[in-house]
Amino acid sequence: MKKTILFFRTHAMSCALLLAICSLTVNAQQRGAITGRILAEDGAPLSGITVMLVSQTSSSTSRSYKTTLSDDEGNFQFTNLPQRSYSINVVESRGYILPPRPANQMQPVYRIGENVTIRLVWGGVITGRVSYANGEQMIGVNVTAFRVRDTEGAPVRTYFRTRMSDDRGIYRIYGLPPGSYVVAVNHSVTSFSGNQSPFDGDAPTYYPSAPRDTAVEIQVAAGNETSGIDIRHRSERGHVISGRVIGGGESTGPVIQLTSIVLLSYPSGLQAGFFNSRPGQGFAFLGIPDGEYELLADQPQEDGGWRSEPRRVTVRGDDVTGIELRMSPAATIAGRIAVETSPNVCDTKSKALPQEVMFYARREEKPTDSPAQTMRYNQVIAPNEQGEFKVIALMAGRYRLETSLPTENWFVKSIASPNATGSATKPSAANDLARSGIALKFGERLTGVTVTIADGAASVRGKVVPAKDGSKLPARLRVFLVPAEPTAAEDVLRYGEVLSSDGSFAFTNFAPGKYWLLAKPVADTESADRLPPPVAWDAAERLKLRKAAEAAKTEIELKPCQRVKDHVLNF
Amino acid sequence: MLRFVFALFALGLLLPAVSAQPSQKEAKSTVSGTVTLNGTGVRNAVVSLQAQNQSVPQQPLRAKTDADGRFRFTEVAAGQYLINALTPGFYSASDFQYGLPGRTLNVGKGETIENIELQLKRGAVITGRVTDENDEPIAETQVQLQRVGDRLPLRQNMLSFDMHRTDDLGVYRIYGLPPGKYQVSVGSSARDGLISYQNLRASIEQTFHPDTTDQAKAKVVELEEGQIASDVDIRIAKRKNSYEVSGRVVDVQTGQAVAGVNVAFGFVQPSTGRVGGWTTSTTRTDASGAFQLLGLHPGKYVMSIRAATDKDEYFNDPITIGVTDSDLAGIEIRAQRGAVISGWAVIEGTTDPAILAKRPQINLQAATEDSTFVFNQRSARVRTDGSFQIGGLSTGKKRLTAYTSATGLSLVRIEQNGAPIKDNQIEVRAGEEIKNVRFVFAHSTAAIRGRVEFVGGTLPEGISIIVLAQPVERGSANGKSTQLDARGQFVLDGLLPGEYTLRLSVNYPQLSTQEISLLTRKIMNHSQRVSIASGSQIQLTITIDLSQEGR
Repeated sequence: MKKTILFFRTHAMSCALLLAICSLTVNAQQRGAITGRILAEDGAPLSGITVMLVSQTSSSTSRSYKTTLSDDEGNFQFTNLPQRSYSINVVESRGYILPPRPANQMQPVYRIGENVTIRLVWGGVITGRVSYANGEQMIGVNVTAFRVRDTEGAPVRTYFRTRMSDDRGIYRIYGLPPGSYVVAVNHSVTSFSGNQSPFDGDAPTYYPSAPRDTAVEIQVAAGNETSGIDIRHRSERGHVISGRVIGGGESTGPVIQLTSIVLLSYPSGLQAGFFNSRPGQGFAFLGIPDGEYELLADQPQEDGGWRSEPRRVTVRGDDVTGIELRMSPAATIAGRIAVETSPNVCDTKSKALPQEVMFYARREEKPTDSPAQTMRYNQVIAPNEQGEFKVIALMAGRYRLETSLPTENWFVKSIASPNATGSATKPSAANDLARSGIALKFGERLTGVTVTIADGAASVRGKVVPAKDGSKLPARLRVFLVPAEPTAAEDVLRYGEVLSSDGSFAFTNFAPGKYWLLAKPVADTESADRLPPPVAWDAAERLKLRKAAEAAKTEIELKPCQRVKDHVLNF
Repeated sequence: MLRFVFALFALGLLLPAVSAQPSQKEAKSTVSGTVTLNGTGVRNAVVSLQAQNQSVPQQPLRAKTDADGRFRFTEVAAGQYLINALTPGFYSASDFQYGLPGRTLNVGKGETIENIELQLKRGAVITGRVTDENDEPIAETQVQLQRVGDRLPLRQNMLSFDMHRTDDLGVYRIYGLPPGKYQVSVGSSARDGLISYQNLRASIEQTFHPDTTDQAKAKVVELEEGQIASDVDIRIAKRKNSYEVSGRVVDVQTGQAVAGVNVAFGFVQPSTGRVGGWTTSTTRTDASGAFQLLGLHPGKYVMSIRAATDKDEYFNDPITIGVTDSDLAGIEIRAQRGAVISGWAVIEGTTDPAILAKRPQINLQAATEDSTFVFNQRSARVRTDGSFQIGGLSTGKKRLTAYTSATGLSLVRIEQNGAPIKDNQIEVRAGEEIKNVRFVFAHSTAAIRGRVEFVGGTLPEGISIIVLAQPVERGSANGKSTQLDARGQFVLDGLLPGEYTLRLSVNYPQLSTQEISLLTRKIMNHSQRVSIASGSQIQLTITIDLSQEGR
């Protein structure tokens, strides 16, 4: 049967031709509800929590929000929603917070018709008093808690929270996700232009009265208050890191274009400073202790914006001034979604729309990457109604497009670059971007990427169980789905892997075909803060994985539109 | 005896200015003085000296006081500065207003400025707990203080923002307060139609200590210097529902969606019908022109679109909506493609690159003369090359104006195709492109410097004097005003040649008494003519008699 490729019909075209019924076409879109429940970790319903629904659109500046309050049973609902992708945020309330998730993982995406359960964590509290060397209280000084380890003890670097000491020198930082923290007084992490404090220029002091190297970590458990975290200021002068930003966009309209400059500690990646710079203003970070740092300037704009390459800075006993951060247009990946007419149609009634798809440009992280290279920006994007997408403001590096598809009926058939020997929808090794990844140079603007999706996807859900009675599963497992057909050995899109703590797994949105399943224990040293790159991304590792899966002899055939449930995989 | 102590750390921390200071070698000045608490020197206090009217903000100079409370700045370039002691928990009686600390100080070339006294007072504290109808704490809500008789709540700066916010136990603690009578409240008042961002579905109606929504029934907290008022609790009766308003912005001519604009909402005050409290949507319209605003309280609102980027193309005839007890969907805002005025901003009689570089500091504006709506005006910043473009203009007569923070620049006339535009007003037809409009500026170094001497009495604490130079002939030149500085001096610079009237005005942050209004009248009665020639530097002294006999 001959296959044809359809691009999503454009509303713009129908509007131009048939003005009168244009709005009808738009309104004819299906509408629906997203319902859900807010629970505490122990399963108790939480009422009065503000739930915010964020509509994911092709432009990060035009996302719309809806909010509601959970009722007495913890239930919430958003009705009459247009068909597209949504994410859900919860406004911190009564100390309840959303649990942290890996920094390089695509956020959960919801669509109409879904019922969502959101479990919140009761945040912890750190409180204490800050004083000078002579015991006098420090009034009105920033105290910052940095989360440095998760509850498993693995290093993390994505979270901090600041409050100010009062006239008694007392501070109280709450809503902290469980984990290990270091607490610093007068850290420049949140200082910005225009804010004057008598403590500017002093290096931060960590609990109990230490530089960063010898800071004592504080354990925070869910809902627990840790008091008596008193800090005695060391009164050491820090240094200045200053300079200016060269290039970037000139704004002439009513909106002043700010450039944000972030300073990261190297190699820990903890934020060491943040500065919003007006055009021509330059930047300065005060009170910076000796150490290694990375600087990065970013000027986000709708069409892609500008950014600087990461710059390493070493502070050794003196100020570092006159740094020039040169701005270049930020790297972007642009393309469109194509829908392949498939012989298999799982559901003739519901129709997927391009704007329901979500993309996540995931960077291939290497152990040698610097903190600035792994900083996340606007890496999640939805296509517009015409199926066109553009992921903007990317760091240099190699990227993989991860997708979240509207229903389980769809799978990604191919991701291809233009101008190569293969076609857009049947890529050869030369233009198969799923296989090679998308290598972006600093400031490179890649266009013409075609992501082909097709109907007829299959899924398999199940549980890993110990092969022998009485034996136990490892604390964390990684379950792999590996294509069994020799012709699919290099089709990266047909490989899947999921992390499981209880043995359960789910692989959805896969092409029909023959697969092997394989479970492997996860090393204790693996951080929960960042996901390691999937095994299938690397050609050699992929080959090894396939051999191991073949040897395990756990073949399963997934037929078009098949939903395999309760599959048992022996370990 | 003196318990106000800062830790001993490196003395005289001077921070480099971030951007280049004027490089020409000119004689530098020194500024010295003392920081005192009840007449005694305060040691180790950090004093900040921040240059004003800079094209880009600069890091302030900083100095630390010695054992006797003395501070000293050397190598100070000429210019206007703001001087203040950075002492959280304390306040200065000479502060312009709570939350706006400091006094201006004009520094000349090669001056030795001595005996600047920064008088500190121990601040008072208000602390308490905010709870809801079930006695549950209300966390992360802002507590407002309003002095009895003041029209507006106390201003919160970035440093004080944190202490005005309740913690997870609903507790707040606001310190460093000047003495006075305070009303303490949380929530947003119906009067200003505030849109709530904090708790979008259930916001708090403004509730005063201890538990009333009626400001007249609020319990007043009276604070003496350094006093601590505890248990200033607020219990709110119930939360108020707020609603969403959504719809589309469409181009009336083409019927197409208008993407990438903000929608601004103004609250119509029920009693006066005046529109205030303008708030702009946090997101822009998407490709389908959809907009949405959250957290609106019941009331009448005016909606107007506003460009979110440099591309200012559209306007609309503002429409009024009423929010009662439900969300409003399907509101259609009919946008019209506006007229465009473009041209150049030129500075006459100069080719000095340093002066020409001031052009991006100029903001140009075209506004409807009888504008009731804040957004019935459009503005644009002048580009580096001097060109400008103001778009999205509605039809009718527009008044053109220019605003600039650059010293010495004054608008002298506006012309089109070489001919002056009468009264700076221009008739704009629908969708018209008006080109070749020139905003002509002059650069002037002329200045009036002087001092104001008060005889026959002393000024009350916390009073601030403003000096104004108003051109005698309206429209011929721009007026200037400045605050009288810490030495009782003033500088009005960048004045164009012409006749000016010099007047004084008074700012007093506290409630006016009869005595103060009498003083104010005496001060405001002063008026004198000053004639400015090109480049002239005028020195003068104004004497004000505060005695009973004085006028």
